[in-house]
Amino acid sequence: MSPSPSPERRVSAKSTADPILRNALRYTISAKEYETLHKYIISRSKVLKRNAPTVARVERIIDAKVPTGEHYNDYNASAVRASARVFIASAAALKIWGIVGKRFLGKDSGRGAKLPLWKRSNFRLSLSLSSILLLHRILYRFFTRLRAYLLADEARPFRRRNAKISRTLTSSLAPAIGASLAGFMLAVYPAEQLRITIAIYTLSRAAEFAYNHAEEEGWIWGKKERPWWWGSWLIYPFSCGQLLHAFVFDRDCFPTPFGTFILKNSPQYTHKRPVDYPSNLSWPTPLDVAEKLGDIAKLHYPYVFLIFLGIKS
Amino acid sequence: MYRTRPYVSPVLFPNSTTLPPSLSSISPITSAAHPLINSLTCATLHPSDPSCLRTYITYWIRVFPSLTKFFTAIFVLLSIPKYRSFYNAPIHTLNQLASRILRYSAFVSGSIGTSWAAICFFQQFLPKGTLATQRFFLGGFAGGLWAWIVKSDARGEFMYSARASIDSMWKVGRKRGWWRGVRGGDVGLFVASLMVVNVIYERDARAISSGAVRKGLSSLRGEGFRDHVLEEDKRIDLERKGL
Repeated sequence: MSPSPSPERRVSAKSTADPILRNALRYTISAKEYETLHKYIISRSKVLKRNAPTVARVERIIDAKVPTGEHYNDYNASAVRASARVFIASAAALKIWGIVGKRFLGKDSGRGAKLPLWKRSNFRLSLSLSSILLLHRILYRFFTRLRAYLLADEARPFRRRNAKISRTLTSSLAPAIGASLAGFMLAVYPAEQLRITIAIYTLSRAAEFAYNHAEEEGWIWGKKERPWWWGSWLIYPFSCGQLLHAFVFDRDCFPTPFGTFILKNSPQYTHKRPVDYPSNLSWPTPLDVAEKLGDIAKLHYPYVFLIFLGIKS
Repeated sequence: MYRTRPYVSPVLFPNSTTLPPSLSSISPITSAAHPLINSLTCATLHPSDPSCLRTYITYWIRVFPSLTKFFTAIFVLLSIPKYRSFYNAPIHTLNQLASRILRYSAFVSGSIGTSWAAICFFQQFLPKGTLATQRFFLGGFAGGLWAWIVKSDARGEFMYSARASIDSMWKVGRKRGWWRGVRGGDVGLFVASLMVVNVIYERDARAISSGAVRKGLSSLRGEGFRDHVLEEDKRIDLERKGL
């Protein structure tokens, strides 16, 4: 924007009438945020300060057509702002992560040919996250307002006619449940491991919080004390048992980093190729050995070594 | 049948083939096994040492110190943001840190080592056909009992293992045909879980035991990226001080 002798007056005459500028501003930054930005960054630099609009001016543009004494505070605009920021931030983070993975961790980005934008999984992940946020906010507001309308006196005839529907929609939990439908936007992301991981993560958190709530309400132990040995640690033996079983019998269904960590910390039970071992002969990797342990088990532990002592099994 | 044929120790009779063809890839390890070893699993896991117990003890001696180093690095890094407590109560904090490092190292080396050792153990004490494959689950279970020593501060790790296990279990079931996947089932699961979390947040925000999740939920509702529970606690605290 070029500096002019009387920017204030020019703005009020022209820009406030310009709905495009006004909406573009509203959907990118709120007046309060611009004030903070101005205070900490713009006002520190002379060049920026000279060229950027003042706080009052931005406020005037954003607050145009709002009754005096009030600030423009549109819920939807704020939802769009938040969602756009989530999109940009997650896209940037994924991009940086991709570069780090390629440069420093030696990961191959795969797929040599360049895919169109809407087929790239990073783009769809950012899109999915930001649309979950946007839709969740909009739905939450929608169901809250719907509930308020239905509870108002004017809606009594409707409530009488549709008792069941209105009972559902006026429940205090209706906004919370209705807004969760935004979660379906996760489907924007192509079906990959990450989607399953996200779903299982949410499931585990839901179970954890539900347990907290149930315990707090006394639904689990009632009037009794919680047993001294009870706790989340009890989960671990079961998951460990399942994981070891899968590691031996279904390694294609086993999380690789887990296996790497375990085998790295299993000296004495895994054996590296001896230094002087002939290079033309093969040596089993620890993973092969684990798989073969499964085969031994399936053959019902075939061998007994006792022939050395003259005992046959 | 391999099951009944006695084992011919390759150390004594180098020209005989002893392993069934499906196991031939581990013969480089087993063929040099100590002749006193009397089971194939032991010959695979610790070929040079006929004693299972000594192997287990040596395992601890080798792994525990290296894991201690590993956890020292991690927990010291993690405790940097809490440097104030070092200043306020140095002995107490250092003590806590040391105990945490030692307990975590014992937890990890115990659960890995015991799982391995359980293979030897069951081989010695169970008949060959009994729980032939299920004993790996039991071995992992036994290893997992080491969780007891970190039970007060490893809830996150336990939940992580549970998630890994559910994921793996789901895939195993699909592979073996116990169940079939529904298209978009993961999205449905996500929505259902989100509903549960949202309902609990509505009813009892304190049951949401993570501040970050509370902030996220507040933001999802357009109430700002704020932890309302923490704010309320602070307000109550201030009021109490004011009185």
